[in-house]
This record gives sequence, structure tokens and C-alpha cells, in this order.
Amino acid sequence: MPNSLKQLKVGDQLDPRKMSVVQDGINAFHHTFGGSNPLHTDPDLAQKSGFGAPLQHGVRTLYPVFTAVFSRFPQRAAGASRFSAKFIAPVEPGDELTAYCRVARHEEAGGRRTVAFESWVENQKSTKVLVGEVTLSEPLQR
Amino acid sequence: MSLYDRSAYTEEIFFDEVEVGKTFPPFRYRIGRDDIAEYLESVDDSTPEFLDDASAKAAGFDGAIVPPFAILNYGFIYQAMRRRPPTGNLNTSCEFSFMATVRHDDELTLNLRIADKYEKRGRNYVRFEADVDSEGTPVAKAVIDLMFPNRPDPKRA
Repeated sequence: MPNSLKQLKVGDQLDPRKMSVVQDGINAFHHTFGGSNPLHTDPDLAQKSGFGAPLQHGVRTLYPVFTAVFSRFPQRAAGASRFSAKFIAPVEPGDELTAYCRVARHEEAGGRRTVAFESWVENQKSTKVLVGEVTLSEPLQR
Repeated sequence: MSLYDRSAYTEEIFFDEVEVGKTFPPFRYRIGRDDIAEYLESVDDSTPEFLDDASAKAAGFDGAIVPPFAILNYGFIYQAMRRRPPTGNLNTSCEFSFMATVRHDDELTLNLRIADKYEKRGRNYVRFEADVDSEGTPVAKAVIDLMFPNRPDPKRA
């Protein structure tokens, strides 16, 4: 697998990243994230709202997508990136998530190289819970 | 993180109160090493570049950096708004852009705007836009769509 944006080709895939979802992790994130919605921490409210259990925050579900990208391209991921995500299915304690990123486009224009990854997160049933896109960019070398 | 004054955002804001285009006073904050350690634990991340200067320099940074997603924790947004979305809201989509790295304890300023409110398939949504700069340099931006539940019916309380 190439280690620079220049050598990435459409179809290349980054190493998948895993996340085990447990309530203690959701609670810890709720605290550090500044969360205010008890739907993430209160089992009774979650059930009354039609869910089986408290929901993991969407941004926590997106996090393994970020680590998949940062582990390969740290400078681009931290300083020249865009992460978009739609949260399409609930994520609950007990879920085992895997995040994927696959190169969808590679463009050179306006003095910059931009690589767009199709990104998604699946649970243990291979159900997609998040779909999105990551773009990284860098200046073209003269 | 001990960065939040949760008492500043105990009051809910409901869909009918949301004003599109409304902006809020800038919210200033710094994210330090202990905050970052706590954040990394909460996302099961052991990436060394966020805490260790030597690892960060080996990766091409000037020193340890703030994890980009920690720059835009929603607590900062609620603190800027001094209200919180209603209990039961759902984050349906988001977009984060990172334009520059942030070092530990850099002063950050968050500017928040309510970009839109809309109805889709009988449900109410609000779009927030948050821009963060560090001493005038743009470092991060977020566009966040939340589905707002209806205001509770007092007759059913």
C-alpha cells in the first residue's frame, strides 16, 4: 500500500479500524464531549424513545474513520482534511464496529492534489451505520 | 474534560425558538494535555502524536497536537449558545474540516451560527455552523445537523 497521497489509486483501501462499543465508553465520551442529551446515557429514556439501549454519539462512531486516515496521513488528516458523515442506523452497547476508507477519486487541479475516500462504518451484522466521505489535500510538488 | 461549565447550558432550546442566521458571542477556550488524555481514553485512541512531542515531531509536526475532533466537541458549541438542544435530539449528519493543526494550550475562538432550520418527512432539523480560529488563523469548521424532537405537550406531562 503506498504511503503518500500521490501514489494512491482509485480503489485502494486503508487498513480497517475496529471499535467495541460499551456503555462505559459512551459515558466517558459523553463527559469529554460535553454532551447534554441523556439519550446517550439513560437506558429508560432510550427505551421510551424507541431504542433498545442508549445510543452511541455519532461523532464517536466517526472517530475510527479518523484514526484510519490519521495513521497513514497524519499531517493531511490534521491540517488539510474534510470528514463528512451521515448516521444511518443506531449504534448501541455490544456493537462491534469496523471503519473502512476506500479511494474514490484522485484529482490534481489548482496546484493541489486531492484524494477523496468513500468511508463507511459497519456493525457486526455487516449493517452500515455510517456513510460518508473523507477528503485530504496537499500542494503539488513542482 | 473540565473545560465545560455545564451550568451554562442547562436550558433547552426548541425548534420554534430557533432563529436562522442568529450568531452568538465568540467562545474562547484552550485544550490542555490532561483534557487530551481524557479525550483519547474516551475514544480508545492511543495515537502517540497527541501527547508525545517526540512522536509528533517524527510524524512531521512541531510537537504534540490536539486531536482534531476534540477541537469541536459539542460542549463548546452549547457553551457558545448558552442553551442545549432538546433532550432526545439526534445527530443525523455532520461535516468537519481541519485547516491547520492546534498545539496544546493554544487559544481558540469558536464562532457559532444557526445556518438553517427545516422540516423533512414530518421531522424538524436544525443546522449549526461552527468556525474555530487560533489567533485569527482558521483551524477547523463544523456543519452539524440535529433532528429536534417536538416540544413536550404540557397536557401529557
